[in-house]
Amino acid sequence: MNEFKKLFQKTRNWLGPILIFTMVMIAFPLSLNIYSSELVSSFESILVISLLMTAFISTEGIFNEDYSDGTFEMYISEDGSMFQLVLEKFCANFLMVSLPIALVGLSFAVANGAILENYLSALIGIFFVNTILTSIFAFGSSISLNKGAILGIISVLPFSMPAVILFGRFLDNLSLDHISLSFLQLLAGLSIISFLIFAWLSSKIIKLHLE
Amino acid sequence: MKNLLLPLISIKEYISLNHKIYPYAMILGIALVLVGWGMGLFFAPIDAVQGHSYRIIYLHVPMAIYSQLIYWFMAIWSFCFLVWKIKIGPYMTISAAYVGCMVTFLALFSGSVWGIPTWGTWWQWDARITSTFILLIMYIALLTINSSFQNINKADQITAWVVLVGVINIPIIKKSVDWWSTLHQPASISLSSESSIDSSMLIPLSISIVGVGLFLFALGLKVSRLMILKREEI
Repeated sequence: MNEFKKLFQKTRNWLGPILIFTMVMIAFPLSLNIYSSELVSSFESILVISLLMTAFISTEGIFNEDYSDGTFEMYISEDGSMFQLVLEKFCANFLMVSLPIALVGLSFAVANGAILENYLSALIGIFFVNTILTSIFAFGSSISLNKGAILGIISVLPFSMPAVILFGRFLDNLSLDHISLSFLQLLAGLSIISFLIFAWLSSKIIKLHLE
Repeated sequence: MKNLLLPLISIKEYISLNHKIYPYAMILGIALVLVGWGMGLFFAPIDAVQGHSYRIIYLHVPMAIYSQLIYWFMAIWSFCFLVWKIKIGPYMTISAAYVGCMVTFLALFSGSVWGIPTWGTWWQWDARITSTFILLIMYIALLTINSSFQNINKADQITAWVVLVGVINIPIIKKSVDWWSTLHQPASISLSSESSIDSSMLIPLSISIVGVGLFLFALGLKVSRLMILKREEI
């Protein structure tokens, strides 16, 4: 709850990624032609790229402030669980950034005609994929603490490949109306696993930075 | 048993073993590569469809195989380092990353050269080619991470964790030609099933694969020795 409040007070950190995502979604049809048939066919790739970009932006400085102001060190000296702290940060990020982005992504997908039905499946799918991407980039952010964001991106960008492939399949199936419950369960399972694994790995890396 | 494991624990023992093995591995590797390439270039028959251009397989296939195998090698050493704190783990991982980076680049380059006469293009955003390109980026990223920290121990541990996470991509690269309909052909040689290549082409290819493997092993030994000498100031 504490991490949620902290993130909420820093408007730029949660509103910034949502606004950037929205701007990209608005700019995309303008850069083509509003009546173009390419809107539907190229929406998938734009959505993937936008999600990648915003997942990175929203997690870029997720640990920086706590690292530089000594919060992490104090937390460890008080025998607090770093894993728990990172989990809280991740949860706050998912609620404040990933969920709104999934909603915005869904509304633009509907507006562009890329999704005609199965709104709920689309929303769940975008949210879970965004969760996976955010977890991966948060791990990258933990690696690049005080080293600049570029190191984090190049370290973890290749790991987003499976998530991007999975999301592509998901959107393909969605456009053909072939989304099954098992596919959504697979996405949910993978997002939970990646959420826990990357939170644990991030806590390990932060501890290493503090040693 | 203890004598066998000693080079894994003691840096000095490893250096001594490295000195002994290196010349044999290098000479045997180069000799086998020359034999394999010689047989492949001058004695193997011309391919009915591709003509002489197929002969690049004697470079491309070994490089493609080792580009992925080297990553597994790095992952095993990273795991050993993180779990058992084996001191030579980071040296093996990083030296393998240098070799892997070079091998993956050569696999992509030779594939591009082969693509011009056979596909009519040197590059396609095909599943196998793209995933191998991502592998190259992973190798470069790992080397960048390792050189980004002044604290060597921290750099080694972070690199080891990232190597282990990156293992997730290797089965995707391996299976990409089976999972997607790609321009890149499926594997022609396999340990579990019969090869689709004629033995007159397969024998030089097998010799090349073993030779390149030994050569890369020797190269890895050399790089790891140089790294150890630089860091430990032995």
